[in-house]
Amino acid sequence: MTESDYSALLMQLLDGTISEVDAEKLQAAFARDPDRLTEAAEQFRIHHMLQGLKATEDFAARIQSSLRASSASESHVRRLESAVMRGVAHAGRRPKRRLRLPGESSFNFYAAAAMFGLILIGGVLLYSLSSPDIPGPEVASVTGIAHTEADRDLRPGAILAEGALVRVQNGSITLKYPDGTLITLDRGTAARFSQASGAKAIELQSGSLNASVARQAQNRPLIVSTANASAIVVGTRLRLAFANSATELHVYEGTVKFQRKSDASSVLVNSGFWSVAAADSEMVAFPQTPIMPLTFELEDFGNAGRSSQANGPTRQIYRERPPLGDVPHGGWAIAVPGIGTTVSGKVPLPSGTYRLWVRWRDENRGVVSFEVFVGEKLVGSVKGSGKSTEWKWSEFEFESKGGAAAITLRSTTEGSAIPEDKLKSGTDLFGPQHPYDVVNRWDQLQITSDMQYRPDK
Amino acid sequence: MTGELDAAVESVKAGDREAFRVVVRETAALVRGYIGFFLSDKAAVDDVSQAVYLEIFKQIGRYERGTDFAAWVKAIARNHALAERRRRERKDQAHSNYVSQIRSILEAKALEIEERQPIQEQISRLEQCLAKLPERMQSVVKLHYHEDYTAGRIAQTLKSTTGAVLNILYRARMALSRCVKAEGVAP
Repeated sequence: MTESDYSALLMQLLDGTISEVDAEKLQAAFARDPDRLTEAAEQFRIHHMLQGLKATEDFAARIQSSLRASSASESHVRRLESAVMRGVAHAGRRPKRRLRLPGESSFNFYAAAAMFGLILIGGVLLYSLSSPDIPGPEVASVTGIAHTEADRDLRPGAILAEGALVRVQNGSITLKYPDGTLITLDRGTAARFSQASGAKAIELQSGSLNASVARQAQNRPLIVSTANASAIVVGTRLRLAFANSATELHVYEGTVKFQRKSDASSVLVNSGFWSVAAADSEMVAFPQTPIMPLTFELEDFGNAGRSSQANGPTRQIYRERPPLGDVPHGGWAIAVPGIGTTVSGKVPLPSGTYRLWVRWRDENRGVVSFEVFVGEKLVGSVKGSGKSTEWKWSEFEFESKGGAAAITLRSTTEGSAIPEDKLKSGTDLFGPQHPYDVVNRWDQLQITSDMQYRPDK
Repeated sequence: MTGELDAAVESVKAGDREAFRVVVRETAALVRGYIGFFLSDKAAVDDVSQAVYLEIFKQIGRYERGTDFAAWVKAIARNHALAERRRRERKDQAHSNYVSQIRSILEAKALEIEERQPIQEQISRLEQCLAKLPERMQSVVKLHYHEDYTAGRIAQTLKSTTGAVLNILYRARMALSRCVKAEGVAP
């Protein structure tokens, strides 16, 4: 990691815009170099002290006016505190809010109401004449490659032009609006961003996105639309995915109006619920079963990806190297014939019961077996028959008492005709003297995984 | 504790509500900076700070003159910040991640430093140190921390690059850290 990458990641961490992948990189950097951790802690302290210095006089005036407006009685103070704490409970949805003033006299109330009415009328008139100019979102972080028509390599700090179509080739990109709304586009996603109407609009053409939306004006909600549905958002956290003519919405906070375009039927999806808009399904909301994405780090897959010049033309031993690092659920790993393959992922596991599914199959010759470990504990094992190449699902259930754990799949194959020492040496694999067609044997086992998480009551 | 703050605390205890403004003004940077150690969301820091001051106002009669007012305020701030964080963590349990892990690591380290160099001793020097930074560095820091400009917008404003702005912010924080530790020596 270069110094400039490091300072950029640190800033993203301090500003709360860092991605999971980058946070893991920083964590690794700190683990390698304790001095860097101390230095980052100093940066962390100064960063928050600088934030604390901001407009202390204004802040003091706000607190003071709150107290001045309240009566001296304890009951008023309690009401004030309760109002503040109710507000804190919704802080994520309302980034900028001032303390309400309780205990105002009725005269003040009516005067304020009259003033508010006048302002409202003025506001409506102004609104009818012009739409507010909303700046486009800014790239907060990028892992991998993302681009627009105008910018082939989007980097942090770039500001999207009106109508920009963002495509994420790999990794993910997080965009931030000036009001703090964060939109993360996943790998393979294409989405168009527009603000021309005076409201934020995102057209999700393919793939999926996560959104953490700051409170929007009721008459200018953020609208995320796909080819067949729209999610109308005034302040929430959600995930939206579009594939195979269906749109799936998960709401983690707040409420979203979810509307199918073909017949305008809609459903209100509350926090903790999800819904799907498709041609053949009713628009209803279902309770969520939280799914934990399982991030694998492939640690060992033999000679995968290596090529050799020895005894003949260059040939790839394996047709494709599995992606390193981030293999989310639905990803896959390959067992190398004759050598075990270890696939592991570190995941935070809050206390609860988990079910891990592994999808796998035998291919060609050899019998596949694999074991699943959570930390050091073996939670299950499977042995293939070597007779079928059909995909199969195996399910493993385990308990976690909390904390992060490594989930490891260790696979082996039996019956492969290739001696292990030959595979490891690599150079002996090619040429007329070698009796094996290695290319045909690359995928004795493929594993994909998904994990379901059921929290403790 | 400054003489002005000391006098203001005593005035509030005696029933002078207006004096509370001085208490807030003199301690707001400390309270908001300290709460920031526990909560990453700026809006939450502001909201919790407001709740903290209401608590301070309610409890100020219990504060004993001559004891460390900043430490007393920090204890209230810490309790409120941790309660808010626990509430957020319960809500986001299924989404706990590397980001929260790494923030916890930094927070622990920052609190370890806090034992040796309390924030209340450094924050009063921070403004002086800020004024001693080179002009361009000072502008970048003020745009980011006082005007809420992102690095990208600062780069546009100053006709620079985002990377250069991030680098300036990084160096500025290091210079300020050295300066406040050295009791106001020019960075």
